[in-house]
Amino acid sequence: MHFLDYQGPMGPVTGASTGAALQLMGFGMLGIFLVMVLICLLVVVLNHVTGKKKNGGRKNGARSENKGN
Amino acid sequence: MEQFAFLIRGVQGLTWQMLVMWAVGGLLIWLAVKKDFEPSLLIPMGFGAILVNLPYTGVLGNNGIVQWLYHTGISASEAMPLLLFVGIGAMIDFGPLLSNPRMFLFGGAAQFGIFFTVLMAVLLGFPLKDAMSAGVIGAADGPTSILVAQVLKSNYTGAITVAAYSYMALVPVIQPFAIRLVTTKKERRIRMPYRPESVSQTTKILFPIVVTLIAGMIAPDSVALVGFLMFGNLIRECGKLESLCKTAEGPLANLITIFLGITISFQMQAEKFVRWDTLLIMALGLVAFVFDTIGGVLFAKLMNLFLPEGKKFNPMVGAAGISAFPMSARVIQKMGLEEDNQNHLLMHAVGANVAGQIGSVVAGGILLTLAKTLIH
Repeated sequence: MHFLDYQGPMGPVTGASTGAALQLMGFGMLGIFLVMVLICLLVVVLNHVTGKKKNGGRKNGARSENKGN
Repeated sequence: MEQFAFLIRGVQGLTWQMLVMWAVGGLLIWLAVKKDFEPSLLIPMGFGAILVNLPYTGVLGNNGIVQWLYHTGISASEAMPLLLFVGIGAMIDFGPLLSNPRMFLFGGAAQFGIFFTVLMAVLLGFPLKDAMSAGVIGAADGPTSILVAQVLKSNYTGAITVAAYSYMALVPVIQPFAIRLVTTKKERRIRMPYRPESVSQTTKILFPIVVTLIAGMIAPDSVALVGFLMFGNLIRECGKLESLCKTAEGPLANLITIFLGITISFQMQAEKFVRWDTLLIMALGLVAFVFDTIGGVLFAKLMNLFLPEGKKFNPMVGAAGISAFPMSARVIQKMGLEEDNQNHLLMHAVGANVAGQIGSVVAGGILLTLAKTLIH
């Protein structure tokens, strides 16, 4: 992929580095979706298996303030 | 006169780059105080930027407290951001997400900007480790951004941290702009009735354990990030550790926050910060935020192609899948009401927003896992 080689403003750009970034994008998004879909399916199963009991734990509510996030 | 030379040594050691950093520090403090931009981080960072940019400053060097805090609290094992995650986990209520689990998908889709920005940074000529560190600004998550940049040994950790926290505060400006670019008025008016499922306490307790297992098996480098976030949440949801939960979300989070900002300022020394490449990294961070939003919205539109009328997503809810909680959810609610004053999207947006918290730490972990194979 040498035709993709050029001098960028911050340094040289090669076909290899572009390929690595595209690989990262592909595998990265695939990995994230895989994790999120698995968690989603598991939550659906948990909701189904543990029934429709009322929440008896801590009071629901959004975070009261952002702490470094 | 030589005995008085010590009086002007500091002035003689001053450089224009240090003055620029004083102005940057002052700006961060002003933004925090006057504009309410993440004051808990920007004030310590702003003041720290001034401390580390005084000539011959005593906070740096082998006996310098800021340098010690940095090496001990961040460089050695990324302890500070991870401990902060325990506190953050103890603050999060995953209930709206667990009762509406399809929102998990948006927590994944809205991380697109991270990877898009990595590609853009590489195309500009940044080495992959710095490109990945720039991309992680799009996680919209301070501790994740700090940790990933630090582990990758990025040269831009200070700039990345400033950018991450500043853009989080700018979500009410960035997201509406990005959403309007890729949606029509008709799409923004789609109504989404809220019919949550009940969530049992058992589910709420098992959830953090299960998430850690799944994320850890697929992306082992995410275990620290995800694990500590979920540990904090488990403390909250188990119902047996009320005082520990209050400590985690209160004093622990506050203590770490006090020192994290001032510690990060170690990376804001003038010679590392006042450079064109630093500005470019911060600009790339903005690209990451915009394309996170666009990624979430476009994913919702893609899903709508397969959904019948009456069950379609309002695409704006996809934008809430970034980790900037709760600002993004509030932005979506506000935009929804502007288009249709009967269309309340808040609880859907909160679900997506909370999913984004998980998505962002998973994304950070996946970046670190893939970095091992892609960076030589």
